Amino acid sequence: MTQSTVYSTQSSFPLPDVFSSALTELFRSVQPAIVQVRTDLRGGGTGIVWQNDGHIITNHHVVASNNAKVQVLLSDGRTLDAKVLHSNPQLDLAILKVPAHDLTALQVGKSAALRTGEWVFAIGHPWGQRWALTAGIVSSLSTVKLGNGQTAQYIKSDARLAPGNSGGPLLDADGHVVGVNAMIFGGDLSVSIPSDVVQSWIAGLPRGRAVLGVEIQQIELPAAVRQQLQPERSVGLLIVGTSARSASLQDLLVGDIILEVAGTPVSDAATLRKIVAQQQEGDALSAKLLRGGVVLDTSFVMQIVNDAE
Amino acid sequence: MTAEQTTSTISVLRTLSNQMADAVERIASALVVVNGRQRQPASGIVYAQDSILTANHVLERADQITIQTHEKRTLPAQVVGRDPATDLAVLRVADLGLQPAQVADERARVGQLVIALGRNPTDGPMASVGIVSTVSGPLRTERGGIVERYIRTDAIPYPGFSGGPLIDAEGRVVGLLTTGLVDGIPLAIPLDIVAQIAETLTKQGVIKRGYLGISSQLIELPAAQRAGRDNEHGLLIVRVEEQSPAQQAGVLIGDILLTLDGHALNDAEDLHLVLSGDRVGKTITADVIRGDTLHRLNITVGQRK
Repeated sequence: MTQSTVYSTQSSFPLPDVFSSALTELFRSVQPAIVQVRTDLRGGGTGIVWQNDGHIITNHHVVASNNAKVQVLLSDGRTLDAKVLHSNPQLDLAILKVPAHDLTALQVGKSAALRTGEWVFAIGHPWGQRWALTAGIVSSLSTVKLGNGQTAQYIKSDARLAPGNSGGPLLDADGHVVGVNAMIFGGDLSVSIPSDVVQSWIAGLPRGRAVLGVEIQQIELPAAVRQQLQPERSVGLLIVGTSARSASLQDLLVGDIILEVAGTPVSDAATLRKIVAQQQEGDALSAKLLRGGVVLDTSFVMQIVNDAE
Repeated sequence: MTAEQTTSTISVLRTLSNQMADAVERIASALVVVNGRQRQPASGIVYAQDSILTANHVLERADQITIQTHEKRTLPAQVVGRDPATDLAVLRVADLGLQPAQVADERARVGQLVIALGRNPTDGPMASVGIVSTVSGPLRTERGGIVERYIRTDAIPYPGFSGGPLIDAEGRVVGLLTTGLVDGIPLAIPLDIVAQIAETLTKQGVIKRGYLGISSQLIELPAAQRAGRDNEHGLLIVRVEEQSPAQQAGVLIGDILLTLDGHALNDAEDLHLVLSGDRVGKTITADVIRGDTLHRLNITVGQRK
């Protein structure tokens, strides 16, 4: 992991050379902990290996789409399928899980200790480039109003960002992640979510994932039902097993066809999984089911399984 | 396994980073908000006891100007002097009680690391890093002034930065930031030039500039039209303003101005340098070529408004 730097033998202390060497070294050492996050629809963004057991942090807006196929590309060339565990639109944060246990994670810094004027570095995939580094300073720490009415102290810097940087890290001079790059104001002011906010969000997440615990398969809907639905669709999700669901919950039965969940039509497993990923344990979800030929409006609760499953 | 770095090289980044944050902290108490217009507040620099430098264009009104200090005190400010031509203004704030900003003792050099600063009323100091991209001049400003030297930087001038300082890595002021000199382009006026103008503004309230009322362009003087003089160039008069000092002295379109007050005019800048504040009100001689003969006119220098 260590690398010696080359000093010029001619000057006594060539500060610009040392600065450049230090920054090159910082980049080299953190690069394995920064990933590219790809979905089928969007251009893609950046992700941060937050824990070496495969938990990856990115922005909600990088993975928010009805298509669940998310992939993570590592700097060593490996491509891994990623599951969106939790996604929060107000904070614009999402946590993913990839099947790997030996990843390099970034060290997390203290965003509250940042001072105006200190160097910060952004790494991501802007402008069609991969693993690009931009440098700037903390411009200010300022209060930003979140979607849910709460406020947070966000980091504003002049390190250049472009859309592909979303979800990537803002690093301090020690190479620790102090922010998640999220927005650009006015074309030239970069805004990052403080790492302290990320840490509290993660700490507050249920330890496992919220799941339904049912086995499903797509099924063609009877013509009589199709016409009743807005928008018209021909496919629903038939529940073929409920063995993973607690027997005490009698709200979902084998033979039920799920038509809609939380107001959103579902005709594929991916869409259902996306909605479920945004729920908390104990949440009750409204649903439209087809049971015994009758369309019912009902609700059911989420249960928790460990992330490892 | 977490990412580790060699401490000997990475600590340079941390040390430099801390020094830059220290530089911002050092100037912070001499950086104020200037409220002189409806919407976007601007910045100012505490320059002497009770005295604040700012950009003229951020003072859209003449009264009810206030400043906000680093301790969030809001105080009323009076305009002591202002010069639209160089976009500078001096404000007086009674009992300000703040230490003036430290000034860099060396001139800005291309490549030097600098930080541009403004103060935001809610978030405090706001900073952007860059280098000195050019130091050049003289610059003819859009309001008829001349700045002998100006600085250009690639630090981003966020809204509200006009009137704020461009500092070096030690927190000393190198120049005053403004977008009001030419076409909204962000520039910095070197502090030694700002100080000279501020001194005049404090004494007189305005910068006096001489005015003749002509438009001219530099031309090569043909040998046949030199009337015995050895001037190779002159200023061809293309316009004479109505009721102007030049018109009253009898200057005509087509005249070629050779010397003014004994000074040969070899380029357009020479004219501006001769029309300095101390010549306002004085009657000076102007040698012009009309056709192929030399005429000597007497012009009483007016004052540019």
